[in-house]
Amino acid sequence: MPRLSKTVLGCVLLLSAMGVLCLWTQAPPTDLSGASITKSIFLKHVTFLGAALAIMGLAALPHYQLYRRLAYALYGACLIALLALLVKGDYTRGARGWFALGPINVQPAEFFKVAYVLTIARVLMYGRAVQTWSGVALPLLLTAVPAGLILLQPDLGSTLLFVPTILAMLYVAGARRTHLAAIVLVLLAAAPVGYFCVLKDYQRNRLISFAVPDRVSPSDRLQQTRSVQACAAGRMWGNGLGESGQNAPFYVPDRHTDFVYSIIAEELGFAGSTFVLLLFAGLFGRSYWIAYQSREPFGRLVVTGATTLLATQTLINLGMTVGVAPITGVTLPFVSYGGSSLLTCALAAGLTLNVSARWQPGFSSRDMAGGSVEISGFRPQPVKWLAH
Amino acid sequence: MDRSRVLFLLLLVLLPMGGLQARLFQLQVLDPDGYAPAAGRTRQTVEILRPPRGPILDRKGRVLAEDRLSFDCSLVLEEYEKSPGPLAELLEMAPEDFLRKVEEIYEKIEKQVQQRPPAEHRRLYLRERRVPYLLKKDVGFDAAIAIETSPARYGGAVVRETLKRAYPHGPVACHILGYPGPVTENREEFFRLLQDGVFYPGFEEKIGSDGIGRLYRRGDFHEELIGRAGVERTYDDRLRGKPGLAVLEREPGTSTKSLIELLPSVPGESLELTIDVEIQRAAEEILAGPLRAAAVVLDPGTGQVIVLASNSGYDPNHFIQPRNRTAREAVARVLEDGQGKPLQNRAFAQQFQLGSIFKIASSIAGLEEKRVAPEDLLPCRGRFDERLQRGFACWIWNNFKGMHGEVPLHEALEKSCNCYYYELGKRCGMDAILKWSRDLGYGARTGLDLPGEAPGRLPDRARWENDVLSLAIGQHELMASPLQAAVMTAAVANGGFRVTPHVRRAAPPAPVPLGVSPATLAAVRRGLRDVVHSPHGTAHRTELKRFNAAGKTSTAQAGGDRHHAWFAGYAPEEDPRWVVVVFVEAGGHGGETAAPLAARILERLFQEQ
Repeated sequence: MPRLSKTVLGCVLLLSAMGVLCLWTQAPPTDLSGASITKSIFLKHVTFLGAALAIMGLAALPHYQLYRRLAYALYGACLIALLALLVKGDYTRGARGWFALGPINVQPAEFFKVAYVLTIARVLMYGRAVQTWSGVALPLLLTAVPAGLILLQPDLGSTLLFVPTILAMLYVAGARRTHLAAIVLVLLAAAPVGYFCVLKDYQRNRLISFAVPDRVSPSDRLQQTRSVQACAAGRMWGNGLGESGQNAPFYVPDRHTDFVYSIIAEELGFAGSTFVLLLFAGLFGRSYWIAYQSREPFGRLVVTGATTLLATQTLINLGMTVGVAPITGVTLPFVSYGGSSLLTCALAAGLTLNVSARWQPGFSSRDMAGGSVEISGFRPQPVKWLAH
Repeated sequence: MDRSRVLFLLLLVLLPMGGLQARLFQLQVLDPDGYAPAAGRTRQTVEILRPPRGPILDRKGRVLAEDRLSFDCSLVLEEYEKSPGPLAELLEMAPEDFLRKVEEIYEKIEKQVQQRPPAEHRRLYLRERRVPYLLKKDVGFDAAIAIETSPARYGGAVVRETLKRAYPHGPVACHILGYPGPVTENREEFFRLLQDGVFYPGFEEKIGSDGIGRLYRRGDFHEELIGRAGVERTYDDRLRGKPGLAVLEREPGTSTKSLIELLPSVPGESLELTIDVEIQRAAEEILAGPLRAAAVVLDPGTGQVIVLASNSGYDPNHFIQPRNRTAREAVARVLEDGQGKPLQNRAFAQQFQLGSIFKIASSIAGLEEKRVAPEDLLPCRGRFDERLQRGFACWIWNNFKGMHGEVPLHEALEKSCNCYYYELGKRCGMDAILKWSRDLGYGARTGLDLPGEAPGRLPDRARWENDVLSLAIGQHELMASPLQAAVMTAAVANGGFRVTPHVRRAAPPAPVPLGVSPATLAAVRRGLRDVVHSPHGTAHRTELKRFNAAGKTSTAQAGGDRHHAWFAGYAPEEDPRWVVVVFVEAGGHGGETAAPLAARILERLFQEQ
């Protein structure tokens, strides 16, 4: 059994538990007649969570170099799925986001994120060409194509996550700061074009309602206003579990998916929301620390990418819940209801755990058997994958 | 590669998290009242906006059913006493009338309270004074709006908007129209509709599934209406419309409500019928009498139903909630009448022995299968075969010990000779007759768009050799509804097409060509004309001649001495515009009982023209 990082594992499990708790207090009963107390959404979530945690464990088992070999194949498969989605995906609320595979809906964009991090890590792991424009071009192209496809669905939230991820991975891989600054500037310059040509009306509305609240009608602002009110209503110690939304019955639409943090904030107050924030801080801090400690470039890049992905998602989600960021429709990792998002986050955490178990400095021969290196220095391993 | 760059990233992530923490501190600890001032104190109410049900119109656009909107004004005494407003003026009532009405409310409360033990009086007074009591019905739109928008000005006034289904023609065409009833009458159906989301389309995006759950627990969906009979049931989806939603918020300390969410309701679509309500009314009056009777008028070309009359029915207005005492008693009477079955329309929901009208189908079978030619003479010697135990005899033998002699097809129809059809049946065989009966619409529902149609009955094979003889004259196990007889008659009248009768004026299924040769139809139509016009025809002594009608009578044995009287025909003979079927249960001879009624219905049809 490899030695998994206890901090990462603990944070993930505690966050998942918070999600389960929230959903239990919020999910409506399945049967409207009230005869049964089963809550289908709750049961679904728990099932998905079990599957996700199992997959996280499985992802941590094989040596992560296996993923390095699979990276391109996974990337290709997900890209084909994204293309197919545009042709014959299923529509919900105006977006072609998923396939119906039997009883479950599969969102290729979610799984693509993991394949994407692996691929970029593989491209950048040698780090030689990244100092030049031509070296930066390939990873940028590998980002732009799928990001464009996802934007066409349209799924703005998922598309935006790619930007910090690629920047972080390029940065850690050793790209020049001037190059990165240039990329950021180009993106900023392109933003107005995107605003007027790519965004849909409702997305523009969300931005306007965030920037100039008075420009839109109260009902357009409703979701976020309500979310902020709910958070504030929690005060220091919260209203107690299951007590959210009692006074104003229909507080936040879609509360158990994107606005799940408002439930925590209202029911458990400042104390509870700070606790969750600390769990996230612990998760990301420890993950970056694993990346820092890892002496092997592929592992470090994978952890950097996966963590940046989760962190960006978390920051955007929490920001919109407490009213300091516009609504973009991304979920809160491990806490929100939603199968595909849960699986992706679990895979990302699984990769981090995998790297944590194998490329940390160790002192004993037991660690070396697990593939670790000694503290005294880097010991090249006589394994096939290094001879490319 | 510089590993320390990872640490810089970590910093980049932790900084905004610190910012979030600061924001949470600001929201939840420093100034929660500034951000959630209303939390816990604003009162939100969710109201379901029920759309009017679509109106039902007849073929000439006359309203057969519609939802009428009215506003009732009630008064809450407690609030009224605190701040009595200029309510009398608003409601256009004389001040003394108004005060008398208020006095009546006091008296009502007094009366209620006095019925209880004295210990409870104080509590009851307090309670009843907070309950709205009806002040004036139908107060008009302007007054209703004035009260709704500034309730503080008119202290204690409460407006209720009510929609009530009304059937201006009362019991006329009641079985066709049907009536809506509370959806909870059928629990299974109620829960199915509930799970399908019929009662809350689009609500989820506005109030979430927990909001829907609250509406359910409040019992709002239990008040939904659903079509229970007639077209109200068949076309319930069209008529019902889609409910809307209003979320209102009341700031503490004020009594004005602000609308914060609105999902407008979609009124039900109107439904145009093929029925002519005036002719339907006339037909129902013509049929009125002690004997149970029914009548059908069809357009033979399209299958449009113009009249579906049955001479016992009900007033759908009595089924509409809220019911007063007369309505309740009327409904109870209707439900208890097991003999007359007033909830069923005899014209399509019940089936009877058909008798000689079926000879039309036998004739078509015989001619089309080439077992007889139109001019073939078949013998009638009163009795068909003396060796047979059961009396296969012509009616002329049974009544007068007479016989028809040698007759061709048109004469057999004209005189309704049984022996001719015994012979024809024997020559054709069971299978041929059954095939043509099925093609002409017997033994299966016609596809009428009303619930509860009777399928009729057709034997599937001959059990005894002589079954075919009885079937050929329309007896044996054969049962048919008047509507099925009308469909067959329409096929003769329109040149051999089976129509699908329908009451909704919309594109119906196309008529099915049956492949009957023109020669066959001409022979049958000649016989049917002679029934009315020839001096020996069974319907000769009626007014039908005047309307240039053709048709066939039937006196069907219904067990014992009971004979059902039938007439099925069409007019005008050379270019049929109407198919008319009249049925009188246990009415005796078809030519004497049913045919004159058909003549009166035709008279009315020609008048309307």
